[in-house]
Amino acid sequence: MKFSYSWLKELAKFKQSPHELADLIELHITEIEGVSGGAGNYSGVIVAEILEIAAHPNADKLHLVTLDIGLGKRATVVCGAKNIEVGQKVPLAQVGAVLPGLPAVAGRGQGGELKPATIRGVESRGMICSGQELGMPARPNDSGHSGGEEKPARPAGGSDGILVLPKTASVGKPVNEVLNESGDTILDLKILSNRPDYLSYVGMAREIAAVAGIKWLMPLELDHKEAGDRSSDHISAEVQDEALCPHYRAHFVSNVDVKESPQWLKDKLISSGVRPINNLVDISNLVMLETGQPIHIFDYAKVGGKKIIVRSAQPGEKILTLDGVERELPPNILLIADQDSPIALAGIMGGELSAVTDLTKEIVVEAANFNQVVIRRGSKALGVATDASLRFERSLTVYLAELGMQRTLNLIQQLLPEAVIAKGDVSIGKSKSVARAIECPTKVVNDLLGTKLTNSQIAELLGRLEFTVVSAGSKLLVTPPPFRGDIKELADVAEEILRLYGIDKVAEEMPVVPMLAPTANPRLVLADHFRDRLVDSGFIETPGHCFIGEEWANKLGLKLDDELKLANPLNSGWTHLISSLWPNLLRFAPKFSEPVKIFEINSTFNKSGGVLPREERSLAIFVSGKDIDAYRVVRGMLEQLLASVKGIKFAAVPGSADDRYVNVSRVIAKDVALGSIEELSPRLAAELDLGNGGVWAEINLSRLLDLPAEPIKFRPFSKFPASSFDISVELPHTASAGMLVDDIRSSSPLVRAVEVFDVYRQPDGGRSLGLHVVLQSDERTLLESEIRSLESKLANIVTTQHRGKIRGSGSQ
Amino acid sequence: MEAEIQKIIEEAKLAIAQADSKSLVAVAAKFIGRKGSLTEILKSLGSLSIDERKKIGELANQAKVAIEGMVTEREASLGLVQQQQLMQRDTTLPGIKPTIGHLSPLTVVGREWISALTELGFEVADGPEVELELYNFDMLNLPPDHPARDQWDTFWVKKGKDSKDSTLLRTQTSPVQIRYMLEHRPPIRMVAPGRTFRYEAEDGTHLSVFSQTEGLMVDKGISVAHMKGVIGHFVKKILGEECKARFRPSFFPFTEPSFEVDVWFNGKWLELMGCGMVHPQVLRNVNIDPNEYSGFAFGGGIERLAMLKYGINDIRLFLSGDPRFAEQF
Repeated sequence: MKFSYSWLKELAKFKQSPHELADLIELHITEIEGVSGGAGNYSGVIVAEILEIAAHPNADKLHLVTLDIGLGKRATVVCGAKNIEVGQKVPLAQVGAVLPGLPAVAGRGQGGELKPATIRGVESRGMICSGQELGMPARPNDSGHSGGEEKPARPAGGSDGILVLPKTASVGKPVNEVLNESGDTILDLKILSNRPDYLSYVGMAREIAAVAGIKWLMPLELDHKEAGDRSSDHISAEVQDEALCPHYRAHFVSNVDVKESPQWLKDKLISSGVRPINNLVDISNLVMLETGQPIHIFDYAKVGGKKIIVRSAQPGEKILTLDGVERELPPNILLIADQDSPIALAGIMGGELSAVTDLTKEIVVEAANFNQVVIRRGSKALGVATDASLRFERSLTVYLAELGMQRTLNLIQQLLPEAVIAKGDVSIGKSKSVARAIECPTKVVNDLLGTKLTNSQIAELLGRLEFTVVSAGSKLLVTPPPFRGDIKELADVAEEILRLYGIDKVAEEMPVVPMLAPTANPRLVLADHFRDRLVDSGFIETPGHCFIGEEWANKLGLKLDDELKLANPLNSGWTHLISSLWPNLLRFAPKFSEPVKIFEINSTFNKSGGVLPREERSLAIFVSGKDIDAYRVVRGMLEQLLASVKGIKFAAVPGSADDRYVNVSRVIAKDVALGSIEELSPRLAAELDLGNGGVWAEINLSRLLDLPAEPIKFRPFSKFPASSFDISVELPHTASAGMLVDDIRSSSPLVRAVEVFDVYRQPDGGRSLGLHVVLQSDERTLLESEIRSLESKLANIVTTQHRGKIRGSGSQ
Repeated sequence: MEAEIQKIIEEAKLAIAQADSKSLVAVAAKFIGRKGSLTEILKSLGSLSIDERKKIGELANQAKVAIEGMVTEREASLGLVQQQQLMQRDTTLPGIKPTIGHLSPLTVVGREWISALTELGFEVADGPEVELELYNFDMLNLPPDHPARDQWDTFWVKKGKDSKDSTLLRTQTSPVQIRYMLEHRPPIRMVAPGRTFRYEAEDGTHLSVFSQTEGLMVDKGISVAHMKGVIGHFVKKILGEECKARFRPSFFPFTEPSFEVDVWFNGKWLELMGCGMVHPQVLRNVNIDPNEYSGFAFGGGIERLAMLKYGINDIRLFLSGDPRFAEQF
């Protein structure tokens, strides 16, 4: 909520400068979301020069004004002001400008955004502003300029005069820079959701006084004189469910004269971003700002049957609300109704038909307390949040209703001296809640805060906030004041003590605890191990969003039917949760220069039988590049990462010519499917802008974790020299090189290693392979004859078992 | 004269054989340099007869060639040629870096966050990202229709009949606290890293998918002073010894009292995370007696911390898969 510095000062009488006050609030009360000069509290308003004034084709009192807006550009707007002249420099709010005097977007009273408008058939691309529209308070000679040669810009009592800027102002510049108002400071304070009292000037001023150590006295005048009949002679009220409306209070006032409010009242409202309307509506808004209690005023003449009923909406009921919208009422929304139909949405917004107008002579003032849940649900169901609903949904205390009513009647008496305020309120339900004392053992408070406060210190601190504290030996009985519904137990009281005492006064202290070692988290250990291995091997970690939508799925040939859908996706590209990570990598890959080596480790989501989906951690990698064998790089990386897993197999899956993904290998450990390696078809690769193709792999880390890891076991090495030889083999395209390597490896215990050092693909699909075979015995140096005989045994395996040819071999 | 030349050869042979890489040039000069003994003989040839001049000249020249040969041989045996060639290397050329990859800054900063707490004996816990409404809200003292829920705009997966039957993308890592406390009894020291979600349009300062990490400690006699101590250690560990923390009042439904933590970094106060003493209702919800135990919790966004540390100006870069970003970490 935006607070005026000078208004707060008027209530709390502190001495702090705006800057000092902001510090005090930040460290003891709530967060400062912004500090701004009151008059500069707008944006998108520039200096423009009037070039031409023409008559509006369809309206006598309006003009079409053409302005120079800088950089050789012009704008034409519709303007009704009388004081415009060619050659004047004026503030022009362009489309998109935010002005304090405009109705707020969501009814939250923060000022609204200017939209393009068509006025009497002519489009207006902006608005020439008055001082009031820029949030400037009225001053005797209010013109906002430094020089004295120009006449006052704003005629007294009206908002139809535009603000004339000094001749020296340069066209196109933001008006804030030109005006340099020395006006009020506006503090935008974060409203904590447990503190509805922060949504009021009295509440905030009281906090400031407590923190600054200033004696607090209720600064608002509350008294008024009552005369004539009783309120109950004119109006009756009924609350159907007191759980939804714990307290309802109404007062009858006659002989009211509805007119414009005095300037001080309008200025106060504008400083808080509320648009002035008329004296009665303005009074109700002022009381809400001052006390936090929303007040509603009905035109008595429009209340059918002279009876007010607080009840839930019935099916099919409608109401025309104050914002001019006819609303179909959701079930269970709380209404204020007369004997025939709804006249207001309780705690949210009044009805248009029962609203105060210029003709209103008799009114009913309402100050009520509504249940926070029913107001919040109603506001959510309608999609309407207002200054009133914002307060009620934070749970106001019933105490405020009476305060709000008294203040309203006081202001009516001040501003409408002819008004006759009837005797007595019509009141239903409890106007006061009985506060329960909270038992606070001093030691428990100090132990929780790490302080050594005495009973009297605590009593003094809490006393500043109007808590009642009774010291009873080793404990305190603390009763919160009636406006603090949020204080329920010792921890709440402790927070108040600490805020006022000063959090900075608590010295840092390390806890003393038993020396217990934490258990390592296997999921994170594995993920981190893999990340490090991958990065050491040249891979780049590229995390992405965990969403996918139809467009990307279609492009990749994926079906979303079995994927987990979001109930409220942000956009059409992010409708489902991903069940694998590689689709993200394919999105990122084309941005990388070759060779592309990227990976992600994150969660994936699959439907399950239970309430929660099956959520597993996954690893995806993607490789692409012209000069590398991407498939073998991917497979080699997996072989490396999975080296400690027993029985890892890569099982080839036959593919067909129209597949988007080919050369599929399933990664299997015993019977557990861990994932797969797949290669993009040339067509898909081209569609994805991956000219050199690409290979992805995805491994289910959750399943991997369930497998027993093979511990490292030292194997004594042979004392005898190793021998090796290379063989060059030609294999037909029907043969598997991997199986040949496996067969060679298992052909003799003397074969210690087989490496493929060269692969050449022949035009007919066959391959030439260069194999390096290492032989070694643990018992002796191998004889040349043994090596030769093994060489011919291997040659035999090549030719007979794999139908290959030996092109040559040689020892090293 | 002949004998003299012979003597020079003998002397040279001996001297060159004993010369090291430093003295070889000087040694050679002694014989065949501009003022070397053999050079002197060659210079004096003019005073001899034509026959003598011819004979001695030839001998002296042969000797010179022989000594030059000895020097070259000695140079080779001392490895001087290779040495000289090697010394022609241009050491100013930039290095050839090994091709290694890059961790995401989220991983880097996340690890720092975690290790600042594991070194104090905090245990790393995790939980599901699709979470029950019950754990994400209700048990954290955020009942349905609580206005504080507005602070956590939510992606819903399934709206079921109640909060045990409704699932959402967790809006914070705090449900991990609930899960952990349901399974572990105090003393508790836990750190929970993880991905979290907020239903909001993305811009330079907001991501709908982001990362949080939080710490939780529950034991007998845990106080605000302890919380300040641990957080003080934490911020120094992650932002440097000069870094200090400031605590401001705030409100979170799951802690009471609640604070925002600002850090003094690069000459100003910057908001880092939220913290507070675990709300007694939260302890009661997980069957821990708040009269016996108390605790604190703190947590914040990894992106915010990484942006602060590295001066990153757009939060969307973290999940952009942009090599110009990824290759900087």
